Amino acid sequence: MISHLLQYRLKCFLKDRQMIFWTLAFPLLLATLFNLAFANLSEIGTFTAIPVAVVIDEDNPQNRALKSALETVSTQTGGGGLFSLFQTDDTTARQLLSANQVDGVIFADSSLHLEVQKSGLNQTVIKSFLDEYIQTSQALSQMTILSPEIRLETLLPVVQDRRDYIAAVPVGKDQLDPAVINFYSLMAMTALYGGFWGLRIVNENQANLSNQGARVSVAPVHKLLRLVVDIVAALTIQYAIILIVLAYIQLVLGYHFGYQLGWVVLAALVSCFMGVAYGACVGAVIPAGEGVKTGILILTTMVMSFLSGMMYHGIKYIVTTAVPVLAFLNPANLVTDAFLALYYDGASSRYFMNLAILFVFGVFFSLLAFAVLRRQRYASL
Amino acid sequence: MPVFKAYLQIIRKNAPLLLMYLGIVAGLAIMMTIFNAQSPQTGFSGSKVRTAVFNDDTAAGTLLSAGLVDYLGQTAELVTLADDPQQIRDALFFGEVSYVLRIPAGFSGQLSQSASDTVVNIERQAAPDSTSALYMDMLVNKYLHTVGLFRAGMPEAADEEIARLVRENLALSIPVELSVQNSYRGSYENIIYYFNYLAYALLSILILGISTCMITFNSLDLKRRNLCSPVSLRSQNLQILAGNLAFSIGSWLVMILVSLVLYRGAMLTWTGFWLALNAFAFMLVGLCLSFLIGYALKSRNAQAAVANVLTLGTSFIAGVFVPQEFLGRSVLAIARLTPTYWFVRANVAIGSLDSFDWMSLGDIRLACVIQLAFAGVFLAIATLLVYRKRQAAA
Repeated sequence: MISHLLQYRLKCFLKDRQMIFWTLAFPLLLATLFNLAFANLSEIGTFTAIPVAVVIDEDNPQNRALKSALETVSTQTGGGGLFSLFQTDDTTARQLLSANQVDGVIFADSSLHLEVQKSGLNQTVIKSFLDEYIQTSQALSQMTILSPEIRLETLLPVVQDRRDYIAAVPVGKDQLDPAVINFYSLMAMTALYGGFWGLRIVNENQANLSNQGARVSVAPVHKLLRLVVDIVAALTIQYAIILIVLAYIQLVLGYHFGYQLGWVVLAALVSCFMGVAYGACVGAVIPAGEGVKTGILILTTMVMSFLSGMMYHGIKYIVTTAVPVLAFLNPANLVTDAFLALYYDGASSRYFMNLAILFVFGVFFSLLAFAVLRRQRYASL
Repeated sequence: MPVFKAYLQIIRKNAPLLLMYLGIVAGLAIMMTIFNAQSPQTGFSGSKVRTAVFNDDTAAGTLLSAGLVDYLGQTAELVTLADDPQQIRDALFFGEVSYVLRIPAGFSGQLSQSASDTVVNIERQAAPDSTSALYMDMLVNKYLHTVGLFRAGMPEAADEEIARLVRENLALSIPVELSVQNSYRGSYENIIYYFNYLAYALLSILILGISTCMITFNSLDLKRRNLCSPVSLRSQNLQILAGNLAFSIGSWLVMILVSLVLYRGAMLTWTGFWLALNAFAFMLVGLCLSFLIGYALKSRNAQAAVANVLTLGTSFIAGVFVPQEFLGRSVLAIARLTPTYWFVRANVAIGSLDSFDWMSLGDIRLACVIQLAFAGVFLAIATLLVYRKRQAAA
């Protein structure tokens, strides 16, 4: 009996093309679009040599020192220099600038000044370099006044010593890519879209919501058994779906979920359970037609996913720091955070806490749905 | 005009859903305006990197460490963070800070002794190879080099003296000139965001509204009933056309009105005029595309799927959600085949324009013409479909 119910329920679900679109094809589509749109974003802050035009009057002896200083930093070893220089004349330099070919033009004749088109980081780096140049020469001339006994030759080695006082400490074990947030959040959305199955189960089991519900209500099968079988069917399909999405994100698109596959798969399972239960809860608790319930499910899912960083990953941080309670009450954020915790440092207490709260949410939604659905009797249908 | 009235009734029934899209675009635009709150630039202002500094060197006589923190306070945007590895990592990961610096205890003392190699390094955490990390490294090293230079020049000077001299020295800067022609580009940035998001919202609204009406009027039973009504087929079609046009132009008008409310004076310029005109061209594309979808699809379920795939797909690859300059070359190559790409491209071009003469508008005219060409192609395919359907069954 059970296998019969399960078999036909699975068949029903799988043949519903619209449901399969929203639960499977839509997340895959979004993942693909995210990949296309965000692929280059992580490289934005990466340093590449800053293109600079230099208009220099070499007859002035002071400018020769500047020129050699510029050339030194531009041909540094190890991954290219600071600037890529274009030494030209006045008009060409301005043309390069207005065509955005260079970020700034350094004019060195009797005085030194910089011309830029906007206030950006690259422009600030150029300015900072030139500042340092005049600051050093000012310091040298100031010292010859303050302590006349000092000889410039003794100071030059100090100037030329570009000792690096900084030790870079790695941020995490691997290089962390913020773009994963969008994809983890997408997993959360996929899990919550599993709610479509939960919603449908409630609809098709409630005698007052659909004809099918009325028919199965008079069938000689225990209601709880029917419900449990339906939920198992929904979970099976949704779990398969979320694993497909996960495999697609990791294997095809190449965004990592960390190295502990077992825990990743467990997080996916708990998320699915929560999602299906959420849909069932929406279906049972909200007294409205199917269209409105579907609308509410989509809208709440989108809001929760947005707050967990699906469209813009910074939102997750803003919510977590500004309204920590909201971060813990948002199931989508819990799913995202569970995956993020795994990515950060494997199965940690943070991961287990997220999973525990998710599980509690799932149980809570299920109980709420069950409390509404149980013991309903109809005088007539 | 019974058919026209019925058309408007269908739209009214779907109004909440359509208004939701308007809400989304207005909400996104307002959010961008808040994120991007920047005053129009009048002169050069250096970028400040968001930095967290943990100074463990706080014992007495640590003027040089304190001086470094002071200097970074002027040249960077200091952010206070809790001294907890997990929170620091989160802040770095989410871009709350780009640079975290830790000055070890006793750093000042070692620095004062002489420029020996025994000095403990300052620890920093940042995204590897990022420009901001490179710039901040430059600033920190600059401060310490300058300290080293003054100390070498004046070995007897006290720390107070050195700190003061370094502070004065580092206050020197070169003059920077901001070329005038693009200096107020920033003030239009938010309007451009609004108009780019409009591509998503307007297309969604048009597809959902128009194709819903078309599917309704084309449902077999309703069509058969209408065909035997005393209103001629020609009149019916004209009324549906009028409905389509009224709805499209109405949606466009609402979008423009919202932009007027959001940006007021800035819309009443040539920039605003051309943005509105470009949006009108895009509206025509949306109209023809929706007409085509309405004829090609039979069920409303498929319609929701197609609408989402088309609007989200084009918006992501054509630069609505992520600016075109950040998209990969191959993505943009595909995006050229969508009208949205040309709409967004024209918007960005309009935003950077200062004079609106025939010459400088060349790119924008081209983009508009390409959009109209898309509209023509969609309309042609739709007409083909209409004729074939009419021959098939009525």
